[in-house]
Amino acid sequence: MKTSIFNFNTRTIVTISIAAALYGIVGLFGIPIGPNVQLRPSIIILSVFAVYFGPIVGLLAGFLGNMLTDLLAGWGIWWTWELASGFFGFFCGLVYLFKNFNIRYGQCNKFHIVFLTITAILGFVAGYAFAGINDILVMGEPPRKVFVQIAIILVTNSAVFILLALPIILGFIKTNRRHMNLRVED
Amino acid sequence: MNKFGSLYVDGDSLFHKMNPSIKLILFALWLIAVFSYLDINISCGLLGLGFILLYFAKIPYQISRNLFMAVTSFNLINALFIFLITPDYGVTLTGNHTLVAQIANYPIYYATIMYILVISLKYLSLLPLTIIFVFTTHPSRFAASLNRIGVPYKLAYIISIIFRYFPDIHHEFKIISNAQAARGFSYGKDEKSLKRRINNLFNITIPLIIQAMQRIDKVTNAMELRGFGTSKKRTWYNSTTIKVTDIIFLIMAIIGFAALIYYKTVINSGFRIDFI
Repeated sequence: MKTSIFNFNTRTIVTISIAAALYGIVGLFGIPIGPNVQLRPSIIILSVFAVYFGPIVGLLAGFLGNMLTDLLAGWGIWWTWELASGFFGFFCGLVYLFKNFNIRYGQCNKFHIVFLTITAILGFVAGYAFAGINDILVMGEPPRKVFVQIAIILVTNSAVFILLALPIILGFIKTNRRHMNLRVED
Repeated sequence: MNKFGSLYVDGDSLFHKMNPSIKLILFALWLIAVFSYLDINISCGLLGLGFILLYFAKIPYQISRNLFMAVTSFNLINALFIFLITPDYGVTLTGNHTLVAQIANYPIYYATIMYILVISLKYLSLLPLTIIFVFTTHPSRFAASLNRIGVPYKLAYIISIIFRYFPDIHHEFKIISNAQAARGFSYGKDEKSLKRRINNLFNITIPLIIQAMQRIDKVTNAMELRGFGTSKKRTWYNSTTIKVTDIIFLIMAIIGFAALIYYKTVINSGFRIDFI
């Protein structure tokens, strides 16, 4: 049984906190592949937790986790970029709302995977567009530089999601399916 | 602890004694003030004020040095990025075409250099208050004081748990990456192939996620055994009160903030690179 996403019990609170802490810590690590571009594994953390526990957990874990990363790294709180991570978590978690999708029991079909990919990339687009527009209007960054930056982040993060995060999610689904050879009878 | 560890540094300064939620409000005002100006006078003033406040917080230099280095390098890369992609942005903002130098068909404008200076100073002035906030705020007291100013206690508890567990998770990350490195799957510079480095780093996430799921179970059970979430209210071991000095600080901050708004509406509302 999946719990409703609006059910704020103890488990939800702990899940949000631990996911945010994990996302915040892993967000500090990355491998530089170019000037100012890093491949960061933290996307995997956020997407797996969002798919496991739903959009609200994804939103809050992304928002608070990114805030933790920024505080640890020392550049204050850039709430628009934290909200961009939150958007990504939220969109990733939308697949949780399907009744016949359940990663715990390995229930999943091709449509869900396609839906997850599209919503994840939409989440990136929505989040980064929001943060970028805010950077231009409020922070006074040059528009062309922001566009270039966002384009680079969007491409690398989408590639990381499709090439590295999606296989891990599929791996979790497969492993969980192996343990579920029982069927519910009506 | 080591590089990050639990962040709170025990001390007896002005900021250690300040009520955490008042400190949060000051921090938020500071962020708004820094974010909404592109003016060299404001940037220099805030940066100076920030470092004066940092002096009063009496945080050991060794602790803040890493953050200082990280932010400075971020600023340099950002400045270089702006300079390479939009070398004429300062000119479009000011209309000032003064040329400083020309390196192989690549014009260097006075206005662009000043613009980069202003925006770097602006980002740098975020640092002092971030250091103060991060290193002088006790996590449990912070959660308690958030609850006191009206944040629901379940939400305040999320903050508390994050700050309680992230050093543990950081430690776990190190253990797993060291174990992988011992097996020959290092993500550091000692691995030559970039592809293998990426793979090794990303493979650390799987045991981390599984460990985190188990940790969620453990913490949930422990909290439910203690009856968390059964009542509408809760009391706090580390509860704080708002003192008179906190109110004075808040009033001073609000007056300063109002002065900044006055400056923005009356003296200069846009971009400014020349001193008063």
